[in-house]
This record gives sequence, C-alpha cells and structure tokens, in this order.
Amino acid sequence: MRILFLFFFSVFTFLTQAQVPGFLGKRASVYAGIYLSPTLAQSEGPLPELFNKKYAVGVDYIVGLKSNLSFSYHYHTTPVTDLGFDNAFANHENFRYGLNSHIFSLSFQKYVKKSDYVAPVGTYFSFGLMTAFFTLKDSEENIFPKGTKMARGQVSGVTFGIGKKRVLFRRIIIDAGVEAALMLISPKVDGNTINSDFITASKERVFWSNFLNLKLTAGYIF
Amino acid sequence: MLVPTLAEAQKNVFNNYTPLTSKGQLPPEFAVSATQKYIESKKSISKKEKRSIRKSKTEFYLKNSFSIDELLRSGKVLFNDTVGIYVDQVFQKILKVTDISPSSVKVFIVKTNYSNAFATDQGLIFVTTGLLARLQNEAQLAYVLCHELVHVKEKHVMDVYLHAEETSQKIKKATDEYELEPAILSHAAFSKDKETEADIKGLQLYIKTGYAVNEVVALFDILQFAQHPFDSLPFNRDFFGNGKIAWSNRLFVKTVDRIEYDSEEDESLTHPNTPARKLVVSKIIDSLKVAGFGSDFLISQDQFNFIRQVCRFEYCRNALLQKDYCNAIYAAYTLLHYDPDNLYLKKTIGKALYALSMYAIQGRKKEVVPWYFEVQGNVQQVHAFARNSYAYEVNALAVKYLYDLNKQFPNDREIAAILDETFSALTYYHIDDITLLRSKVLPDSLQSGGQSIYADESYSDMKEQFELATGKFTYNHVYCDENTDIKYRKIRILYAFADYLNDTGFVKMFERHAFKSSQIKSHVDSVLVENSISEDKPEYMNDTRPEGEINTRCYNYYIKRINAEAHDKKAVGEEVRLKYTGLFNNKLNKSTGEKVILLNPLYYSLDLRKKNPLKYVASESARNTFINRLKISADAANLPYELLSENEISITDAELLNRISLLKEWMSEQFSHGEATILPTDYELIKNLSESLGTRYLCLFGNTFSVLKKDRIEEMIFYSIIIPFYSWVITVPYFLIKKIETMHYFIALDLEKGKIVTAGLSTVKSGNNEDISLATLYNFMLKIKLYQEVNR
Repeated sequence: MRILFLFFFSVFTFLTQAQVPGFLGKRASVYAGIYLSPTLAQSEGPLPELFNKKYAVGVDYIVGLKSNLSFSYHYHTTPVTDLGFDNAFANHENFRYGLNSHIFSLSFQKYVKKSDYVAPVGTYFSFGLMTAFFTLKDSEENIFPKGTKMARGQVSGVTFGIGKKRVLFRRIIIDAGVEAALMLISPKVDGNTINSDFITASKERVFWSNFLNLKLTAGYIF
Repeated sequence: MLVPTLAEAQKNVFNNYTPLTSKGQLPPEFAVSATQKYIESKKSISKKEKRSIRKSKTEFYLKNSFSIDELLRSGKVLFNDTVGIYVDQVFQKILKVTDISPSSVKVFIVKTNYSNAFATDQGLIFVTTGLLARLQNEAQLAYVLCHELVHVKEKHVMDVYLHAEETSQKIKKATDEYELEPAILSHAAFSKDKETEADIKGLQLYIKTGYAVNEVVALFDILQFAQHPFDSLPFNRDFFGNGKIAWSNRLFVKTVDRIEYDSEEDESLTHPNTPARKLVVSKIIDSLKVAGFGSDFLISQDQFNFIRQVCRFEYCRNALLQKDYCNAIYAAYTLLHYDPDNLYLKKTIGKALYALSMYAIQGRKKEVVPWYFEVQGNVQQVHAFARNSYAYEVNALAVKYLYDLNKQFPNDREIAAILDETFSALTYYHIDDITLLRSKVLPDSLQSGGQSIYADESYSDMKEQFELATGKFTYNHVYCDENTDIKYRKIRILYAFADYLNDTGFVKMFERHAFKSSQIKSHVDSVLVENSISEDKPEYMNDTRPEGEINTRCYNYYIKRINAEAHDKKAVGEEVRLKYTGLFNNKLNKSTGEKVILLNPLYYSLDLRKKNPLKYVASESARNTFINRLKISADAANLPYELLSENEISITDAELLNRISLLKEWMSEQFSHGEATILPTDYELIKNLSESLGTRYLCLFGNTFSVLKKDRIEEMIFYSIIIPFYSWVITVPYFLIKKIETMHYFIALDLEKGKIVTAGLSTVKSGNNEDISLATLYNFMLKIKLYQEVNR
C-alpha cells in the first residue's frame, strides 16, 4: 500500500508542468509489440525454446517535458512440464499443462535528464507496477478432462526498465529496451492442498518469465 | 526657384540621411552558393602540380569561397548603391587601360569605419566607407583600386596562403625560438614583398590612367594617419555649454596631444610601414619624371565630394553602432561645422550622449570610453569630457541637448523616444524633487549678473565657488560626504536647466517624469522589502563598478531596480504558467502565437577530430533541411512566422537582403550592450521594419552536428591489453562507434525592448535525426509562445 502511495505521489509531482510539447503537439500513442524473456525456467516442446514470448498492447500518454505514463496489457502463454515438485499428478509423463497470464502494467517513463531529449524521443528509464492473473490448465486428456483449471492466482510486483524511443515518418513510434520485474506480492495460499503446490509453481514460472524481458514495440502517435 | 539646385537637393538628402542600402538585381556573386563558387574555383587547379600544392590550393579555395560568401551575405557589402556606382565608374576608367576583362573583376563597398581595401583572387575588390571618408580626391581612390587590381591579377592572396602553409610546417618543426622567429619573419617579409609589388605595379598602371601622379604620395600621407578621425577641427569647449552653464576645466585637457606616427618598423607585420611605401613610390615617380602630370578628377569633383560626404555620414552611424560614442560625437561635430542645421548630425550627438549617460549610470563607462591619453588629436577633448564627467553631468547634458532638439523637431519619433528615456533616467537616478525646480534656486548674483568670482582648480574646501563671466558660471566638483554631495549635485543639475525654468513644456515634462520615477521607486522598494530580496548585484552581472567614478547611490538604485524587475517578471511568469498546467491541458499547444521573424537559421557540421573542423559543403547543403524542419515545427506549434534567410533570396530581392542587414546590425549592437537596455541607433528604421513585418519578435535558430574527439583512447587500449576478451565488449564498440553530438539552440529578441527575452539550448549524444530535431524545435517554439503569453 505504501509503495503504491509513493508511486502515485512521485507520478503526480511530475504532472504540474506548463510546457508539454509532446511530439509536434501529439501526446498520445497506441502500440503493440513483443516481449522476449530468456527461458530461465525450463520450457518444453519438440525443440527447446530460448525465449518466452509475451504479446503486448498499450497506450502511452506524455505528461511532461521529459516524462510519460504507459499502460499496457500483456498476454503470456507457455506450456509447462516440470512443475518443480514431485507428485503423481505433476510428473506423470501423460500430464501436460498450459500456463496463461493476463498481465496489466502501469509505468512511468522518465527521459534522461543529462541529455536534452524531449518525450517521446530518446532514452528513458521506467518504473512501475505490474499485476498478473494466471491460470494453469491441464492440456491433455488424462485423469482430468482437457482444459481443467489446476490453479488460478494473482501475483503483483514492481517493474524497472530502460529503453529508447524513436519516431519515424513523424507518426510511427518505435520502442526498444529492457524491462525487469519483481513479481513477489501475492495473496497467501493455503499450503496443505495439492492445489497450493500448483499455484506456487505457477507463481514461480510467472516470476521468472517476467524477471527480465527484451521489448520491441511499434505504435502510432496522435 | 521652383526647381531645387543640386546643392539644395543634396542638403536635403543629408538632413534626412538614411543609411546606404543595396538596390536592384543581385549580382551573381551574391546569388551563387559558396559550394558552387568553390567548385568553379577548383577547376583552375592544374593536375600537373605537386600533390601537396594541389591539396593546399583546394583547401584555400574551400576556405576562401565560404569566407567570401560569409562576407557578401554579412549585410555589410553593398551592391548598386550610390557610392558603389560612383566607385565603379572610376574602376571602369582604370580597366580601360588594362587587358583585364571588365566582367572578370568587380568592386564592392563595405560599410565599416576601418580604412581599408582588399581583394580576392576570384576578382572581387572591396573598398571600405571608412577609407572613402578620408580620401581627398578621385585620383587617390584610383590608386587604391590600381593597387588592389594588381593583387587580383598576380594572385597574391593564393601565394601568401601557400607561403603561410609552408611556414606553418616550419613552425611546427621548430624546436626553439631560434628556429621559430626566422620562420615567422620570413612569412612577414614575403607578404611585404607582395605589397611592395602591388605598390609598384599599381603605380605603373595608375600612370596610364591620366590621374594626377602626385596624389599617390599624398595618399600615403592619409594612410599614415588613417586610424584618426577624418577631420581635425579643434573642439570648442562651449559646444555643450550654451545658456547659463559652462563646463569645468576639470572635464577637459589643457592641451591636446599632437598626432604622431610611430615610424618604427615592425618586422613581424605583413605590410611595410607607410613611410617606407611612400618612399618607394616617390623614388619611382622622380625617376620617371612624371610628377605634376594628370588630373585629380576624371569623373566629377562634385560627385566625389557628395560620395565622400555620404561615407562621412556613414562613419557617424557606424561609430554609434560600434559604441564608439566619442568618435561619433566628434565626427558629427566636425560635419556640423559646415552644415550647422543638419538634423541627422544633431541626432547623432544626441544618441551618443544618451548612450554615454546610460553606460555611466550602470558604472560601465570605461567599456565605451577609452582613457583619453590613449587618444591623439583634437578628438581627445571629447574623450576627456566623456571620461571625466560624472553620470549626472552627462545625463543632464543629454536631457538638455535632446530637449532642445525635440523643440526644434517635435514630430521626430526617434528624438522623442530617446528624450523620454534620458529624462526618466535623470529623474529616477539623480533628481526627482520638482519643488527645487519650482523654487528656482539660483543665487541672486547669477540672476542679476553680478560680480565675477574666479574658481581655483585646486580648491579643496567643502564649498562651491562660482565664476561669473559673460553671464555664465562654472563649478568644480569637490569630494565630500554623500549627503552634501547629493545636495550639491541636485543644485548643479538645476543650474544646467536654469534657462528652462520659464519653459512650461520643460517643467511639465520634468514633473511627469519625476512623478513616474517616484512611483517606480515606491514599487521597487516595496517589492524588495516584501519579498526580502537582497539588494546585492545579481549574479549575471560582472563586476562593473568602477572605483570612484560614479555615485554609489545612483548605482545602487540601478541594482535595486533590476532586482525588483526580475522579481516582477518571475511572478507574472508563474501566474501564466498555471494557466497551462494540468494533465490533459493542451491549451499552449493549440493556441496561436504572435508572429515571429526567423532570421538566418544556421547549420554547421563539424568534425572536431580534424585540424579544420568546419565541414563547409556539408553545412551548406544541410542548412535547407534544417530550415524545412523549422517550418514544420512552427506550423505544428501554430506560431506564425516570416523567414528572412539568405538561402531563400531571389535574384530580384535586394530589399530582403537590406532587411537582413539592418536586423543583423541591430542584433550585433544589442548583444554588445549586454544586460543594458539602450535604444538602438536605428530606432526609427527598426520600428518601421517591425511595423511593416507586423511583429516585434526576432528569433535566431541554430543547429550543429559534431563528431567529437575521443578522449580516452590510451585508457581503452590499456584495458584491451590488460583484460583481453572481456574488456573488448566495451573497448571494441568504443573504437568503432563515432562519438557524436547534436546541438540545437535558439535566441528570441524583442525588437522594441532591444534585449534577449528567452533562449534555449539542447544537446544530445545522437545524430541529427529528424525526430530529435523536430521534437526539440517544437519545444523551443512552445517556449516562445509561453513568453509571448506572459508578456501579452
């Protein structure tokens, strides 16, 4: 709660500037893109994947000479085999799971003060909040019907990032960078059920898939 | 007489003198770009020459083409002007006796007080108005042109440049002063030889023209003293002291220093000294036995006199622009001797007195008045007067002079504006007590024309003494405590206006300004007290307080006023900014600003790793791109503009070049004043221009792209060797990737206030990409709009 308060306080102290040029007067942009994270947790499939993929859409709004707010929605899906714990359901060779996450992120981007970049062009640092609603489903027909939800949960955290934005043809905005998230905050889980093991394992997977991401997005500024 | 005589017509021209301007179609030299000039010039380099010579020549033509272009577009070079047309007529007379094609050489006039003429190898000859103001006849002008023509024909400029390149190589290799000095002196000697060659060959050419041969020798007499004023009338100390006031002996020198020529030869100079040059040509004239032949004028004596007079009037104007106020006063004084009712000359003196009083109030008089013992000749009296007088003395004199002028010419806007400023300064800084004026505090002895009391220059008692002679009196300022000093100062100022006590117009003007000043003072005091603002000098002012030269109280008033004005401005600014604050507030972006003038946007591409960092051709070609980006940003910001750029001049647009020239001169003058607010020399012209353009905002924009030197090369090599493989992740990109920087800047000036009103600078470690440039320029445009909003 305190962190949330501090975050919004910092954001709003930056919102009282008289001069918000934007890019030739345009302050809002919508974008879509891809986030790639190295597979720190094991992934599966016929070929081992080096990256997990997240697809993102979002809205940016320039709020100051060197700052903007960004709100985005990410969708992440990944097959899971090794849940990291040992039971008959988890490690049976017939069991296949799918982890889907709907992630919402609100971040504040601040352009490098030392260099005279004006938002939205240039190098920026970002910090924000992220929350992920995940669902772990059974992918195969075995003991449980296909699509059975084995675990559902939510995990939240803070994000930090660095990136660079450029505007091409005076309308297309390209953003490339790196984002790190620490997704550590979640409701307490009752530890005595099989379900709790699935949730814990899923949280771990969500944590690692958001821990470090390379991002590349393209948008339209208006 | 219904038709005015030539003399009357010319008198009218000088009475309402306007500065020289260019007319008609642009000559090709102005219309063609510097890059094209460079490409054309390069064609003359022969491929048979040595590689090093070809390289030096290419470099020469590159620098030369762009330097000439810069000079031509500086606004100081005229074409199709009154003076230039006459000088060209003389030049054509000379060309007739040569085999040089008239289309291959041209002569232009340069507006500057320096006495000089110079030529380029590309066939351009420049003669300054300063030189023309000093010549005595057409024959002397003809010899100057012959001398320069020889430089063009013999390609001396290139020869001297190549020799300088060779010398610089020797200088680089020199290990001590025993090797260094001969290298420097050898270049000076080489250059002197070229000048002597031009003198001799110029004389040979000159003799064929039919002009008087003796005038060549006379010309060198003029050149010997060319740094002095063009006339040498004794300065009458009573010039300012009409009416009841005469100025103290303290303010003048008893005897002026004679003008003397330093004939000692300086071996390191590139020109031989003038007596040596005179001796050479005299010997040739004697040997050829042609002395006494020829005539002084082949075109027209009247025309020459007219042109010289024009150049002398230009001299007065240029002296004001260069803040050379004492020389401006003296030049106008000498010209008034022959034309006592000339309005332009009287205004010149009024403007100079006004500027001197403003500088004196701010404690900066020594910036504009050199020590008078550094000056020789009769002009020394003016310097002594300016240097020795106190701020209130100059201010009172300026008010008196301008008031008289205003009475004579009540419809003149310039005089009225300057009088207003000077009067405000008098009542604000020195005397605001109108009751003293009303009570007419003059000693009875003065009013009744009583006995004389002679003042003793060395008198040091705490009293004043008066000398009454022919109804005038003088006083001596004596040093005393501040309160006594204030009382005496006020009285002395009143005595300066003793003749005006019965002039209701003057009294009303005094009362009006005194009232306004007292209101300003109350506001200043209340602002400083309420906001606990320090009365210290603001940080941006350098320490300009001269010891003992000004009254401390006057200077302190000045500082207090600046501090209060700065505070007021900040308060209004904050109020306006609140209007545009808010998350979704786009009002500033969408509002329409006031029109601005975009003057000559500049673009430079630099490679700081090289000996000659400026990339001329790349800079010129990228300038148009920068101008386009400016237009896009201004349109997006809803900021109406008028672009005055030399890049966009059409061949028939001399008027545009004149406007650019006027604005450049104004800008240069205002920058030289620094923080002081002083009305410009060309107040009326600037006001007219501002009204015709419909704006008072002038903006200068610039953009540079630089490739920087890498400063940690040794360090990176060290790490690469000591920590191989791992350090290469950092060191290899460091060596491969260029270190670049892009800078954008702008300065906005107010034509009415005459000062910089807002500015911006942006530096990014990135290339000069369109998006970065547009975003930055748009931000600058918003800054201008915000300022306009604050000051609406």
